[in-house]
Amino acid sequence: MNYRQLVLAGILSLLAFALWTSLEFKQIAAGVAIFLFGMLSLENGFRQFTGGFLERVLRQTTDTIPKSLGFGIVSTAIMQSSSLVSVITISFLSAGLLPLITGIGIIFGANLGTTTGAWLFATIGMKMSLSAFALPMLVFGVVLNFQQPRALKAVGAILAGLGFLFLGIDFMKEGFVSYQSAVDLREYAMTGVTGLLVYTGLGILATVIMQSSHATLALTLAGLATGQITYENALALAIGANIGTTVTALIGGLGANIAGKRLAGAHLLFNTATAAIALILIEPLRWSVDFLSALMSIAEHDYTVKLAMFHTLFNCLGVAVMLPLISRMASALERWLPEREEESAAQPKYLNPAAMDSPDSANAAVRREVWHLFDQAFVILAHGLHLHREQIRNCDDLEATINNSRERIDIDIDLVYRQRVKRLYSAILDFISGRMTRMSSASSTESLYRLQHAASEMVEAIKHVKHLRKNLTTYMVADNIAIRKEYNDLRLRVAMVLRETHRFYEGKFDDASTAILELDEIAVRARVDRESMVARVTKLLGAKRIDSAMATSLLNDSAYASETVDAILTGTRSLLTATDVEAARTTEALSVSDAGQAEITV
Amino acid sequence: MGFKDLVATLDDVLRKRDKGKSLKRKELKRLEQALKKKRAKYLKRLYSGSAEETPSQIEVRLRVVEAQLAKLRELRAEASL
Repeated sequence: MNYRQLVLAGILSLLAFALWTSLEFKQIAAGVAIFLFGMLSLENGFRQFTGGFLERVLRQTTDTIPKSLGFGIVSTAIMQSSSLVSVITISFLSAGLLPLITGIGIIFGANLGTTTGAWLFATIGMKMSLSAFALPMLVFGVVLNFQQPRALKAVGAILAGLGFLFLGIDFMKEGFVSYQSAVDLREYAMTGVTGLLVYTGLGILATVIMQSSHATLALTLAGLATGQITYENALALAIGANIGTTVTALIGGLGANIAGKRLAGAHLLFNTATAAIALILIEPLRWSVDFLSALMSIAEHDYTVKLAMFHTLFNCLGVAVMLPLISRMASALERWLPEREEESAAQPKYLNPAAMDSPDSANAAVRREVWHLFDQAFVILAHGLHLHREQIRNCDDLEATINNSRERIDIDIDLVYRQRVKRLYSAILDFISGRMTRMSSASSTESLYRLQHAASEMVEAIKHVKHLRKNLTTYMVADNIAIRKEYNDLRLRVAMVLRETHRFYEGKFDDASTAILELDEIAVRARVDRESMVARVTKLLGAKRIDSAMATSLLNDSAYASETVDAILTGTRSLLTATDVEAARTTEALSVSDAGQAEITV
Repeated sequence: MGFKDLVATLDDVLRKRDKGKSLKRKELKRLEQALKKKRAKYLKRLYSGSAEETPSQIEVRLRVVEAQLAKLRELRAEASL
């Protein structure tokens, strides 16, 4: 047992003890758990519901900072999830579809949008008994969640999420009411600067533990509504929640690429600065809240609504102060968090406007860039097979290495594709279409078409490996030796093709024509391997060493492996033939066709 | 365009066609040499054994090279017509 497991076991034991000894604590903790579950369900529902819609809106409405700010406010206010908005923003930043400055604008907006949550809880959540309609919401939500259409499913998840959210608040309120009869938490209230700092710290801690500023705010509001937390301390807790929420973003940013890290940095800077401003200007802010409350006819002792107003006000103040500094913040973050070598490797290296001037330089630049794309795709394909690039390239006995390796490489293929390949692919397509508008010889144009085809085939290979990986990840570590061995054979089939074609990417061939002919050998060998696997699967199924579900998965995945192999080989062939189109025609005539390949069996 | 110009153009076209054919023949000859060399290499590997590949894998390679050589001979026969 390592120290992490020990700490977790300790925390769980403490929690179990607290739940066992205190009924009130159990009620509040259950409320928090139900609330957090509701947040998850709500986020999940919106994720299904958006289905690309949010991404389309994001692409079209974030070309200026005010628009990106507006997008952040509106989307977070509707979905009540700043983390969902942050995740989509990070993915757009990583793919180079958004500049950092606009991404920061969205994060500022999301911080403002999230303040609507406090209003929702302070008005509807605290003033009404929510269980009356939280329970019907849950029932309808669950029923809709069982439906087939995606939209209905999404509505169901959103309804259930809201139901859980309100039910959680009700539990928290009741928990605090029960506490009143047992312990008066106001005895622990603190005043002055000490109280401000201690309760800000508590707000940070609560948000870090619960990973949700909404949960801290709901808890604070419940405590405030039942009189267990003083208004002064509640303000400090709200400030703490604002700082605490950046820890969640920072943890998320650690696993992301440099764009994600910069955005998490911006989030941290904004929230810390806003919290510092709120702490320094706490008294003027309180006066402003009182003044605005009087103006809006809010009762003097309606502290829950006043807390929501304070939350909105100090976040607005933060935006007002930080917005003029947004471009400085972006350049400072780019300076503090420079791009790593591997990330700069995902930028186009050879395509530049100067190379477009002549057909020869344009073809050479595109050819080199496609080699570069192949190199990047190689890493993704290798990791997709749970292998390291060096293992495929240099290992003496690849078969033994694969059979003995059970290491799982956790990657999100979609994300790394966007980070490492999509940008290159888009740049190649843009460059080729730009070059096509100028005069070129027929062979030069054909060469460009072949290069474009080569790049698209490699992208296809990545998609096939993504499908292959789903079952592979499970079966490569399965206890059933037969299925494990067959999946390792699939890995070997693709890895061997990668190894052989990689020699070509490194320029290790005498001439393009003989290299093209050699691709036939690799293709036929992969086909023979596939056919022998099909025969083995039938035998294994007959001998009951694998079940029919395993056999079906294996045959489907064998088809994915073959499609991956075909795409790699077709891409490499297109790339090699693009060097000299005239010579390539002669070589292509020699290439063993499918019919010819079919005759070769061993 | 006069008759002389027409003849000159035709002459040009024919010369280019011949040049193309001879280039193709040259390329085919070079490829035949390369393929024969490769076949010899695989045969040697098949009889003496290889640490990298099994005999059946080498045999697959050999069959592909032989199929390519057969196609090449057909093409050379067409080119010499």
